[in-house]
Amino acid sequence: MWMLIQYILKKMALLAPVLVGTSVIAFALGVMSPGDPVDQVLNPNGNESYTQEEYDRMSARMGLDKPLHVQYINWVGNLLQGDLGRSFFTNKSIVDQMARRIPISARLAGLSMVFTVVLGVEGGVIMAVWKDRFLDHLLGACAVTALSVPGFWTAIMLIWLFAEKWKLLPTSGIASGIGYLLPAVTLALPSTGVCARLTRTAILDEIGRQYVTVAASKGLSRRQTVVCHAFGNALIPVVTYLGTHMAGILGGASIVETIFAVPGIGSYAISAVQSKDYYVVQAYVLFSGMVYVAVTILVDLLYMAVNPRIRRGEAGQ
Amino acid sequence: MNQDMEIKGLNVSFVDHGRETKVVTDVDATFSEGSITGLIGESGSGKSVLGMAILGLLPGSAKVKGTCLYQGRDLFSLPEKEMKKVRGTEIALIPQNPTESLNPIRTVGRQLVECVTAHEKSAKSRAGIRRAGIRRDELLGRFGFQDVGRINGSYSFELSGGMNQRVVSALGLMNCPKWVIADEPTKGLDSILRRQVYEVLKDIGRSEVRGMLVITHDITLAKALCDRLMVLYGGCVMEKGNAQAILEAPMHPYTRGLMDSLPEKGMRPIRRADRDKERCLAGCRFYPRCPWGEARCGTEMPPETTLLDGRTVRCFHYA
Ligand SMILES: Nc1ncnc2c1ncn2[C@@H]1O[C@H](COP(=O)(O)OP(=O)(O)OP(=O)(O)O)[C@@H](O)[C@H]1O
Ligand SMILES: [Mg+2]
Repeated sequence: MWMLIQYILKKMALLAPVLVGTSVIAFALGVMSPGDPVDQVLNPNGNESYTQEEYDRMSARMGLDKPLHVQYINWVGNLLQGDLGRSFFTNKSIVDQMARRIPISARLAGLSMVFTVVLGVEGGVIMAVWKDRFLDHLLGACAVTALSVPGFWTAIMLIWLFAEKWKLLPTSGIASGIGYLLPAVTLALPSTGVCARLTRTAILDEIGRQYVTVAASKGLSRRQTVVCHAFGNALIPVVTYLGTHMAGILGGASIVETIFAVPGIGSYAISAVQSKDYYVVQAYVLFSGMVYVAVTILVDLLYMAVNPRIRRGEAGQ
Repeated sequence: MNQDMEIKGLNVSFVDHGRETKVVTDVDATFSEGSITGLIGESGSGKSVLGMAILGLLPGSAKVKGTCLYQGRDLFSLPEKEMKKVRGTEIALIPQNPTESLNPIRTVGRQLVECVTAHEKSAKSRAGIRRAGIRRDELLGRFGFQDVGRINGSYSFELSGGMNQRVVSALGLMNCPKWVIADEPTKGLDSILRRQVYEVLKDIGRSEVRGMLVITHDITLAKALCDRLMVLYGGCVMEKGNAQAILEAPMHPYTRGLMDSLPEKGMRPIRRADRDKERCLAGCRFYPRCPWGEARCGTEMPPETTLLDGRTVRCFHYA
């Protein structure tokens, strides 16, 4: 156990530069992007005028008159106190907004992840077991379709079918929990296809190895050799894929959230970009970086769980 | 019941994109109860394929013809469900390439215990697992491991090649099988360990199992361990019979060449294949390299001839 905590701490230390880097990039993004934040605040509608004096006063109040490194340090200082500033437009605290939206995105990502893992891995196993037979070809075709259809098309089709035609599910919003269903499926579809194909290849790869034949020579059934021996080894590449995928969708599934009007972190970022709400964009970039770091650690732990070679290697250091 | 294993007309070929490659041709052999049979022959001559065919473990691309009679049943036509019960209990395997033969994500100890728990439902109970553990530790001890506990908790990638080799030897013997097919059990071991493994195999071959099939390149091992010998070349049995007789007075030109190429006999290599003769696919497999070749050797497969001392030789010279 102590080993494990040490390992996690070490990983975090290694990933600290990533966080620092992300924060610099996030900050730079705010500074470099076109448009003037002072102007944005003083003249949100584009039809109000202000004097240079007013401008300088506002600039000083926002801390924008100081040199860049001082601005950065101030920004990070506020950040560490849990203050990411306020949106130019709504004037709402960004931290509050994020705190409200992150759980929604997390729920969506989690549900979609469940679909991907359950259907993808299961489908892959079935395809491997029925290799080159009808079921394999059928599921293989489904997988290719699933991974090649663009998300917005899936979304439109699902809305049309389930909401308009059959009136089973809400078109948008997450007023009831069931509202998560369509966006989660849309989000999960391509990755399920990839995951199924990956699992199939990985399992077939492992089945051809000698240790599986040797397991059969002990008197295990074909099914047992696949489940008890080949499967665990086949999971190693699948876990790698699922990890990066997880990091991607946790950071907000912008398009899907926007289409289905899910008030998550992704749609927040999209609207902020559209309205040049730089503080929000900064916060979003920072958040994505943090998610990336957290998921990386999580995947490493999962990886250790499925791969003793790494477990032993890390513990031995 | 008679525990002999009787192979008749065994032919194995691999099909790849419609092209068929024959790797074992017309093998007839009887492995009789109480005997240890050695299977020798150069690399690629089909020794492992023969062993795996008996266990029904060749890949799907393999086509197996012939019969293998064992306890009144033909193993080659036995349904998978029955064959499953044969593997490990009736006939077990000590596999070649030990490191690839072990699952890299399971500890060696668990993989050994599994040989027993794969079969009996009751063996999955705690007592069964404990008994399997005792058997495992005893076998590992016999194969020269001192720190059995450490070995049990290790993964195959944490052990050396020679250690894995001895682990898979234990693996083949875990469930007290009646027959053992040992594929190069002494490969990669130093002379002391080789001696030790040989002693264990000999001991087990004499007392615990009904019979053993030992595939090996190690003629010294074959000499010391085996009662009978089968010499394979290009998938054909060239000579088979009493081990001592064959090793002392080889008859078939290939067996003679093999003996002459041993270090203690002066390491004279078998000559290279003759280009023109290599195209004669219908005849004797050894014809392209044979010093005694006649014209008909290239067109006709010589029959197996039984000699006075009971051995059979596949060569026109003795027909
Ligand atoms: N899965 C396979 N697919 C196609 N050909 C195969 C397969 N397995 C074996 N062969 C062929 O069968 C022949 C005999 O192989 P086998 O493994 O029995 O040799 P061997 O006598 O055991 O050699 P070694 O002493 O090197 O282990 C070889 O020519 C090999 O190419
Ligand atoms: Mg071999």
